[in-house]
Amino acid sequence: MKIAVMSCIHGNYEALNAVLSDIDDHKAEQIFCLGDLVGYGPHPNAVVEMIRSLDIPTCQGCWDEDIVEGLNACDCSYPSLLAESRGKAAHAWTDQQIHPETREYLAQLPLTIKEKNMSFVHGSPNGQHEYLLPDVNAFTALERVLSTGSNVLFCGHTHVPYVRTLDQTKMLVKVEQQGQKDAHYQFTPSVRRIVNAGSVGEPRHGRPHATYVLYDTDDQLVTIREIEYDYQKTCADIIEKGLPPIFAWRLAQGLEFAERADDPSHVCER
Amino acid sequence: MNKPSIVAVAGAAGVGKTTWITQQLAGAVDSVGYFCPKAEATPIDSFHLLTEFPQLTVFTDQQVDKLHYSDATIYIEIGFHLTLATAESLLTGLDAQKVAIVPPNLLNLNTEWHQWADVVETGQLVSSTESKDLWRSDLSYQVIDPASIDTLWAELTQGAYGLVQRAKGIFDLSDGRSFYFDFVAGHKNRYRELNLPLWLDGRPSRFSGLEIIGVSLDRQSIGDTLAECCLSDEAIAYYQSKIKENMLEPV
Amino acid sequence: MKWAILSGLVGNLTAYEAVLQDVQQHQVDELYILGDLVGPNATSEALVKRLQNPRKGEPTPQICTGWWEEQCLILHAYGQKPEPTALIEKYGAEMVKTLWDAVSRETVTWIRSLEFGFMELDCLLTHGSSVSVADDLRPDTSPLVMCDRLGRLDANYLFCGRSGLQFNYQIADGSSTSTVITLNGATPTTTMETSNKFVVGVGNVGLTPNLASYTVYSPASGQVNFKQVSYGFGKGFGNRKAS
Repeated sequence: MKIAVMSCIHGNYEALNAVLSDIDDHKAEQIFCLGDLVGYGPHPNAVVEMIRSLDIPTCQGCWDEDIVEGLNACDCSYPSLLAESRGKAAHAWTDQQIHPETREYLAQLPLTIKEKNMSFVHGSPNGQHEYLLPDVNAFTALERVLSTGSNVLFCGHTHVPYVRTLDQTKMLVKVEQQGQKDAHYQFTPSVRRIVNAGSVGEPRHGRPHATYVLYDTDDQLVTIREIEYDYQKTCADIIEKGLPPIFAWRLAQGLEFAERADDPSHVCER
Repeated sequence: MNKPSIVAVAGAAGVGKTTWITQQLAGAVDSVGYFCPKAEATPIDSFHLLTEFPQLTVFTDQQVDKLHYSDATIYIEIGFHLTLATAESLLTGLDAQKVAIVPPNLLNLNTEWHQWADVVETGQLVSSTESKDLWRSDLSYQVIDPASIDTLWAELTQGAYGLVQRAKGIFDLSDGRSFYFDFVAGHKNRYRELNLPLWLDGRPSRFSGLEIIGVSLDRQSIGDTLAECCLSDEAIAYYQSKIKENMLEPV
Repeated sequence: MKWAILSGLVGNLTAYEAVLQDVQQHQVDELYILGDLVGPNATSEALVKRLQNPRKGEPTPQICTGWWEEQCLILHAYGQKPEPTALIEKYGAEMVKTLWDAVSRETVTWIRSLEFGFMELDCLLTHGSSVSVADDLRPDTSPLVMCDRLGRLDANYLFCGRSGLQFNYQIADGSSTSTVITLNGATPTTTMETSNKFVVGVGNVGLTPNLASYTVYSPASGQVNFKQVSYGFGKGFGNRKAS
């Protein structure tokens, strides 16, 4: 079966439409969405409406959570003063724009979706705020996948797509325990994968195009898709709707917005 | 009477005037002076040079008369904001040697720089665009969040606020250090920590500031964004107390 | 240099006195107490007073918060969570009042000043783990979880007390290969390796009647020694050495 996984749409309706039609062209049978439907972009309600009408199983992202719970992020969520003031401006705008039914929908989204040997999360199984970057320590990466009980972990949040295969893992463990016989064993989990779906609406891979992934559950083939769309229209809407214009500039560059916390393994406890 | 030895240095923004002067200062044996006319509000270059050459005598616009009586070799940097005609009038009565820094592609031409100068030196490539905007901000007493200024600097130099050809700044950062940032379009950003003591007692009264030269600069946004990079009194006090705490701990 | 590392006192003053005596025979340089000082009992307050006022010649304990301290903080609205959900789930709703009555506000104020853990040399000493005081690392925990907890603070040794057990868990050797494919193509396969990482359960002082356990660690040699101390009426004053 061919599935499509997308993430981080961020109120970018133009990009979502382009991705959906590409998914159509590739005849994916099922779509999964990893959250962050709102934030940064100009069309939060339209994006949520589209996802709902297509009945796409969706996890809750960090922006979705913030809109539901209110913005009480701890300091560490913002790596800089600038990121904080921009984040707050975007949050306030989105909060004021979204309809009650949009908020209700975002509130009931699950943190994790499990389907056969696949798990779907926004950031990591530890929470929506943790970044699973492609170069995170291999044992840490494996721990995250194994904690879900799945073989393949789909995540987003970093806005840069990647596929990481973790293979040939061997760990030699020795345990001495008071009152017990010493134990020696080899821990050899089978191959595991982390698939980051990138970002539909706020790409940060250096180009303005939308990204998502296709996955074939039969041959486990992952295809990273990069889709061109009329980003200038989204940029114009960002400015017209009164969002910080720098978001439009960054969207057009496909630039990383410096909102990543210093410590990628930090888990925000709220 | 000692005749002052005066060298006036001119050239396009970003061509390397201060760099050339730095090289001369580094090789100087006798006492040296520096004067950048009409840059008082944001004396980035003189402040920057002073941190490298503490023995340097820096002249201000009010001290122009003193240029005559100094024994030092004085370098006068003609900033891009002054026309050569203005420069000429400033140099009246001073027996100055005129040095023009010219980008390599113009070296063998006969530009206004060539006509003005006694000596032509090779600088680095700069884009030559007409109608340049100058944006300046004195940031003294401000403490800047390092991660924020990194973001702003990247945006600024990549064109988010208009086409920037030259930007240089001195920033007092939240860790108490003072940094010099330097950008010329088409070249790599340069960053250098200034040789100054950590500032850990309230708002720094030493100089910091930013100067940007470009085309159709979005002045409002640059100012607003820069303001968002500045720490509050509480934040400054917090960082300074943390740093002092850590300094007390044995290594 | 030697460290004595204790946890799980849960208000058991008699057990603590017995351990303290034993500790003094081993000439330790540092005394670490990894939380769970207090518990839902009447002697907790006295134990805290004892910890706060070491007698002449006794080492001054370095103390961090444990699971029970965290519950006290939550009850007094100093916690990171608004409701004592974990406490109720584990011990029932009536425990809220029992604990409230057992630990005074003054003590809770003191608890607030305690550290979450200590990082000494390449050793992390904390009640649960680098994640939380509730993190229950055990002899059968996956080595990947152990690696993660150690890696968060770049430690080679993690001393913890949540399980109450005495164990020395060693990841002697480990490797894993990774291949990352991005929009720019595949990056070269890398192999991550690790070796000689340790998670040590230090035992518990006060949970088991008449038998206290703790750990002595020598940072120079990496030697971990588990100690057990019998105490109380009818149990003699003997010192049962760990095997």
